[in-house]
Amino acid sequence: MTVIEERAAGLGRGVVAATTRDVRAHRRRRRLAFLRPTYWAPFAVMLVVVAAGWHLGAERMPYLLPPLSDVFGVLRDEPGYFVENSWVTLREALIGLGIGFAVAFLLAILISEVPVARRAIMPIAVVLNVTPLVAIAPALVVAFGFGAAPKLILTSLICFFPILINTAVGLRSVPKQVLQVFQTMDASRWEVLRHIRIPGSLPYVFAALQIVFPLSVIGAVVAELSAAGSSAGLGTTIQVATSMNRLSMVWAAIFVLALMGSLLLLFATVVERKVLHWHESKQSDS
Amino acid sequence: MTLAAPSKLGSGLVDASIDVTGARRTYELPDLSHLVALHDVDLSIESGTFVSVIGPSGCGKSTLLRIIGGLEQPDAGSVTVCGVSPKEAAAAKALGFVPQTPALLPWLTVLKNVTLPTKVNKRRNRTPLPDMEDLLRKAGLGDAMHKLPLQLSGGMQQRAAIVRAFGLRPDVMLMDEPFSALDEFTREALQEQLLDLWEETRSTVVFVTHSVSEAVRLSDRVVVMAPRPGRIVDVIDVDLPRPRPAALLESPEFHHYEGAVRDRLREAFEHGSRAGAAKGDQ
Ligand SMILES: Nc1ncnc2c1ncn2[C@@H]1O[C@H](COP(=O)(O)OP(=O)(O)OP(=O)(O)O)[C@@H](O)[C@H]1O
Ligand SMILES: [Mg+2]
Repeated sequence: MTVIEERAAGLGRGVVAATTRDVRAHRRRRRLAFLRPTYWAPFAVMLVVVAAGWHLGAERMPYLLPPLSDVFGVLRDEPGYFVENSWVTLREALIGLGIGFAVAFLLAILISEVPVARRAIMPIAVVLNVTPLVAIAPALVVAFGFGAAPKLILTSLICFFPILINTAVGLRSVPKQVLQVFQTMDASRWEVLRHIRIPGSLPYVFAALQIVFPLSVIGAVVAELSAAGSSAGLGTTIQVATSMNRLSMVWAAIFVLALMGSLLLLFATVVERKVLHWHESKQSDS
Repeated sequence: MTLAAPSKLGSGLVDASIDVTGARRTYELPDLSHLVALHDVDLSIESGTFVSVIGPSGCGKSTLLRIIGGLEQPDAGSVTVCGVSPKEAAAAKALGFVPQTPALLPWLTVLKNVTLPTKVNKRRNRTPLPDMEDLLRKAGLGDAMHKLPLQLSGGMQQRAAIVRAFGLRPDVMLMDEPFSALDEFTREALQEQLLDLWEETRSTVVFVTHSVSEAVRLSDRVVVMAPRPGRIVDVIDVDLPRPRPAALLESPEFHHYEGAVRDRLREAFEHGSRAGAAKGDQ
């Protein structure tokens, strides 16, 4: 059990290190080189290449890919429809993420403060993590119907583990000597938590958010796909369009989802940069 | 009007002395063998004295400091700080602790770092609160006040850590090799600043160090420890006039004390390795 737990924690830490490093390297480059062609030209070229490849593929295999012009045509013809359904999916994703975050964050505090709670919660959390949660979606729909409930539950379940494990590791990442300094002032547990542990865990929490923002969209869409009778949401759009063989509609919805995920990631990154300026300064100094 | 007992200390406690009697601390190692980090240590330190603890690595200096600071309990023996238990002294905010690393919070500016102690255990804050900006300026951190710790050099960070501890106006200061990571010049400059701060507060100081000259320069008394098992082998009084400027380091009296401490240290070290060898033979 402890082995599993440590492995899970180690995994979390690896993820933290990898993502924060990537994001930072990315950031440093971006700050100065934003406008230079060397910065955006490779991406633009790649975009053209992909679009050309798509075009060729669509010409030869119309059953595999719709022409790009059709996809954008659908988006242009019914922008209101896509905005409406995007909003439904986005709301499910964000509320689910919020619930998952709140529960995971509080449990992480409980785990780091109470060893017994840790031994009770961690095994379940780990099992939850190794279970392919998307497989639960149909069962949730059977249990909770076609409303928002199964979507919120699935999204929060998917977001739960990365936040739990990263926050728990972050809360424990405070150097021993810092704790000793405040112990000799008789700081209460709450004071240590509020002034030291929680702020110290923020880099880990933000690393988790980078992972979890895109995951939340996946959770919402999978739940919509599993609920055949849902009335709205981009997942529902995809399902209905598939059954009617409207390939360009399917791809239009996928494009919008990709855009949504990217914007959420961007949002998480911008907020992180604002909040963790002290953490970043460490990087640029060393 | 009632007559209160005269309490000269800011914490409301009476006398900033430290008494360690028969303190023993044993660690159980992963292979279930036992390591005696402190073996029946007796030490009493009068109020207002500056005491250094010196000895070979692993002789239990940090353990002794942690026990005095209430961060660890002795397995046997007793410890009183300011006439009460270390825990009670901590609760009264009578203790200041400077660990080996600066241990500042990287997300707070230097000023916020050094004022954070006033935000915990608030009821026992000194009144009026010390002017931390002034203390920082005196420590040469006036320009660095609004910078983050990671923007400062190691020496400046350690100064901030010392200001943070002194800002509590503690009756007892515990310092565990605070200058060990610094170069010689920075170290001597910080020793001078530490003495200046100490002249103002005259708190009782227990200062762990590996440097003989540092111990002699700073202290009224030097406690020499030996390892395996960790114990005190000698206490040397340093009768040098204060203040002690850098020039004093060249004087024959200073060298005399250095020599004395070094001799005791060498004995402790040889004894320690002999004991270790004997143990290995068994
Ligand atoms: N938590 C612990 N668990 C097991 N052994 C410990 C622990 N803390 C200290 N020790 C052991 O106790 C002995 C004394 O340790 P201590 O840290 O007090 O030495 P020290 O004199 O401060 O050494 P140094 O000068 O290297 O800092 C060492 O042999 C150390 O390995
Ligand atoms: Mg030590």
